[in-house]
Amino acid sequence: MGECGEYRCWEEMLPDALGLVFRNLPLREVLTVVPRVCKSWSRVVTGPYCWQEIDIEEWRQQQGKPEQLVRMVEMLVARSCGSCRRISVSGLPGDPLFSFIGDHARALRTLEIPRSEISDAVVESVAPRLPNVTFLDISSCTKIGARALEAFGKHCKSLVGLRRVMHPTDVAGKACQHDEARAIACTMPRLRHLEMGYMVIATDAVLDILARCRDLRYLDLRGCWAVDDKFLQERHPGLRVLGPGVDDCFENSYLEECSDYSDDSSIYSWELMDDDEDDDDYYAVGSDDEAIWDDGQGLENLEVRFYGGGFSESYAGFDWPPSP
Amino acid sequence: MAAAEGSDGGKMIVLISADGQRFELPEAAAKLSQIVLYMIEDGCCYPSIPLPKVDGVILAKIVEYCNKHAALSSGADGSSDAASERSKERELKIFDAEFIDVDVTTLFDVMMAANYLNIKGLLDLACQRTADLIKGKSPEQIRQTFGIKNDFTPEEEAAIRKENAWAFDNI
Repeated sequence: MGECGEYRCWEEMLPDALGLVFRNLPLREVLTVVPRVCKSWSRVVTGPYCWQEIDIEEWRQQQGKPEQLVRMVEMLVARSCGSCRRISVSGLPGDPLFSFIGDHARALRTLEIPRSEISDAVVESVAPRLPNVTFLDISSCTKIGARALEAFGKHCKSLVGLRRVMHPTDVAGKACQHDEARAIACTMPRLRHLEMGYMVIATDAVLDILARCRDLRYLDLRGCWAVDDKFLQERHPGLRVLGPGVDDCFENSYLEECSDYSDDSSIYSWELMDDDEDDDDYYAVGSDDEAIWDDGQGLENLEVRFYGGGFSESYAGFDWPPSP
Repeated sequence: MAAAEGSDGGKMIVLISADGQRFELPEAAAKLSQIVLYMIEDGCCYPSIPLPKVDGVILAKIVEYCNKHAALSSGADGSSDAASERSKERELKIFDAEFIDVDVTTLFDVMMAANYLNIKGLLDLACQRTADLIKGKSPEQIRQTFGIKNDFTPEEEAAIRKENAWAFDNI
């Protein structure tokens, strides 16, 4: 145990353990304070140990210039040396950065890039390089459509969670998104968790998905006004459906129990349904996404959404971002 | 002794620390360590499991942690209603907070032992506690807290300070 009286050499703490420690710190401290402590800590921060999960959404909201975002993502993904399992940042400014991720983050399992300016074409070229992705958030990526969804579905064979939530203004001009629903139904048979809020779809499209995605347990249709949810509930009694109304009192009692967290209006969580013990991968700390729901209806119930209630002790100390 | 049964009829496991101290604990608690779990599965746990990298003082703490968590883990006592689950969760949270409120020397040893024994919950707890001790401090305050020697020249430290400043000019 490195016994030397009452003194322990923190410089020599195992780099992967230090990586776990630094992951609990805000990005600014990891990049500007920790490396100045000593050379060995500095090496840990420049190495892959801290960067298996790259969640820089909070930083992006404060900083936000596209060129800085590109530089940061490239720097951190490069540091992860291909070991990165999760990337969580909204608003990728264009195709080249997404392509870079495809080239350097092939171990990726969770990819959360809502509101990114990526195209169908780049998704078709990058998706084959991301075969391990199980959770995908491409909400409000308005430049992609059915082609991109099909590419993700075809190449990410283990995909179990998809978030494709639109903002009402994203879909204002769209006649329908049945082609997207069709792509989901045809290429993502293992989905268990699907959020498609405000997508312009009708009941038939949803039934098509349910017929082919037999493992689906959770379906969020809030804002999909053309869908008849009662009909769905009758046909699929085991399925948890949210919406299309947006004023649900979703697990209110559970939320009260979680009052420790309820002042954070920005917490989202994937339903923790994967059997993998390493379930830390499967939460998502949301963002200014709540703007999506900011249409004046039932907002107080929707700000915080906990799915599944799988918050174990390991979550207790997580550094939740402060409320905006 | 090792194969003896505990008061509730469950199997007991004996761990031996680096300095020869014996710790007997229920199998369910011992299994929180992945390493011990593998040894149990391989049948290498009798009459006892030697842990030459963990001394008795720390192993006592680890055993305390495992006992508490195994006893309060879901379904351990057969009850499964939501209210009792939540009260157990609260109890564990309080236990964890008190458990890890230790000096940095003990924290270091607990972290090393949790890593070696592969007890994920305990490793996370120790890492979070360490992060809490770092958070909001200057490099010099961090060095003081952990007894770390500054091996940078002032020029090197200034260079690192400049290196990532671009990313935080708004903050």
